[in-house]
Amino acid sequence: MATNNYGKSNLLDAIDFGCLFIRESQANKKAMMQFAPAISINDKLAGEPFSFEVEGHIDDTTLYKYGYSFIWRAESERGVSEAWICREFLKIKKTTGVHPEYSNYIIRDGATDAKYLSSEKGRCSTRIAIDRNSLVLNKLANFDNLFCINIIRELNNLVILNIDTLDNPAKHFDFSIGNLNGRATIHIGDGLPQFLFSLKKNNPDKYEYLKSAIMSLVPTLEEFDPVPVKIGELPDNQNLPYKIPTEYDVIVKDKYNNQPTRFAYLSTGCMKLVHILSAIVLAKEKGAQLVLIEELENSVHPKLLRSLLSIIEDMCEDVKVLFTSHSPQLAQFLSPKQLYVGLPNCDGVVDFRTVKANKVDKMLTVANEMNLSLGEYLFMLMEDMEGDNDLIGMYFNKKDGCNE
Amino acid sequence: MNNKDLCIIFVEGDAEEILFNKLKQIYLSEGCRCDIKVINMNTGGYANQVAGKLRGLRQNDKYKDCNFKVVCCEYDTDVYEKLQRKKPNWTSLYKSWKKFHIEQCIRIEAKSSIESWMLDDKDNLIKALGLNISGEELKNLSRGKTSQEVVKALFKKRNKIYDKYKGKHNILPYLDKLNISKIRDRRESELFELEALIGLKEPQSTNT
Repeated sequence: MATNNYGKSNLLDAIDFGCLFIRESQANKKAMMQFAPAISINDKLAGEPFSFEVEGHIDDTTLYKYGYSFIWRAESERGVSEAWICREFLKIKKTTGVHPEYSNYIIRDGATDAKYLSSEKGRCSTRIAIDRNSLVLNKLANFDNLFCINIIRELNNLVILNIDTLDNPAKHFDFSIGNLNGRATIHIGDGLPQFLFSLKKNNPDKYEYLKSAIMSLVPTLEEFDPVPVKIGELPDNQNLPYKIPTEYDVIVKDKYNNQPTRFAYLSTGCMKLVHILSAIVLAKEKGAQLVLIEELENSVHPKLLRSLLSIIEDMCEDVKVLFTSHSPQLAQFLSPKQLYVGLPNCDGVVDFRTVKANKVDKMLTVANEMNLSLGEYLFMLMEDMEGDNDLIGMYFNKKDGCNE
Repeated sequence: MNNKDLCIIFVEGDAEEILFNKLKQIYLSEGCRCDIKVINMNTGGYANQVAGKLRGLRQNDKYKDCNFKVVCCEYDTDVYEKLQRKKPNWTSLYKSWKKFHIEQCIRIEAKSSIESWMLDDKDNLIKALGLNISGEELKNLSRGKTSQEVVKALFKKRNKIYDKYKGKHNILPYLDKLNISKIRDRRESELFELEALIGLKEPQSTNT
């Protein structure tokens, strides 16, 4: 939760970028490390490396912390300095062990100075030759006999789905080629109807559940049916070297209309809801661990927000969701510990923090006295805190530092 | 001439609205002489918004001369702990509603959710959903879950979303099949005050 132009979108994009970087080829990594729109020109951050860290669990007993940093490619009057990966680490903790503490599995300090843990009972001291544009994590995925190969491969498959709800919610369903960072993209229209048709055909249970969620949020929809669109009949037995692929649409019927229409005729808000819910199904199909949604409340009636949150929670199951918001109404359906509040500062650098557990009660009391919801009160507090570090320190936990 | 009594039941969400409307039908069939109006506030922490509804009703020609009896349903009260929210100050709210000439106010408060009511008649719920679940399966499905989670899981088995707040048309066909008399019997103590308020039971105490 933060005010406009604070950096919420940048944060979601950075998480998406950081995860994508792990999965991309060496050539694409190099391209990403010189991707101009992502290089900070903020006074405080300019020249700083890009750092990405993630922690989670592989199974019930295996926790991990993984991270890397790289130096951006730089151009100045003194010349060009190429980008390079300058740091990488992997730590794993087995909660079932005698000493459940994190152990080092990868230590990298510099472009090519890297070590890894080659056996369960050894130390993280086996040297590995690594290129300045490569991650040790990727290279280890090829070591078939490594004792922890399953964990390494799992981490190589981190998937995050960033639903671009504001600009292009349909992007994950689009047919496109070469879409790395928006370069050389060939875009061939909205693939959502095809996705829905394919889901209906191949996984009717999941499709019915999704359709039920859509129709629950848009109760005036009486019909919602993805169908192939026939452009024209081909003569029988005609041996054509290439047939134009089938196109699809979703036929929708609103109870107040006298006939069905195409999906594109739905209101912007309805289409957005369909895209978000479908993207969550897609995220699960792709095995994503995290779904990012920007301004969930955008185009959604405030009274629908609680239902939308509840439905997203039901559909996601074990997939985590991170969304940004400007909505005090949305905040009232979340626990304070689920909220990350964007705090003002003098550097123009994002600073998201959680409310101190022992201050929640005080905040609620004050908000109640002022007849405000917690969300409304937090937004008011965000304005009052401009430049007041004492007030920030009083209510909010310290900014998380680097875990390494 | 005596004014007509109007019992206004405030509920939160479509599921509660459906079940209380089913109860209303029973009460009317048993000769309840009080008009009953179920109002779905459909918003979190609705207590502060009741005044607006009462004002609207008082200004409505149809109800302006009625004796208002107000029932505020508050299920899932553990949500205050879960979301760390302040409970409404009902005493001060009751006082603030006095200007609307309220004859009586009561509150049905329960930590359990409305889904616990549904599971009082789980056989009909399962049948309505067209599920074929053995007792053992249901036991496994319910283990460690809240009533709401169990109901959601049952709907999911039918590939349906259970949205208690705004999912009326999705859930009505199934909740309509519940035997509300059976649920009413099981929830006798929770409903006692309401039924006394509308004259179907001898009152023992009131919270005016």
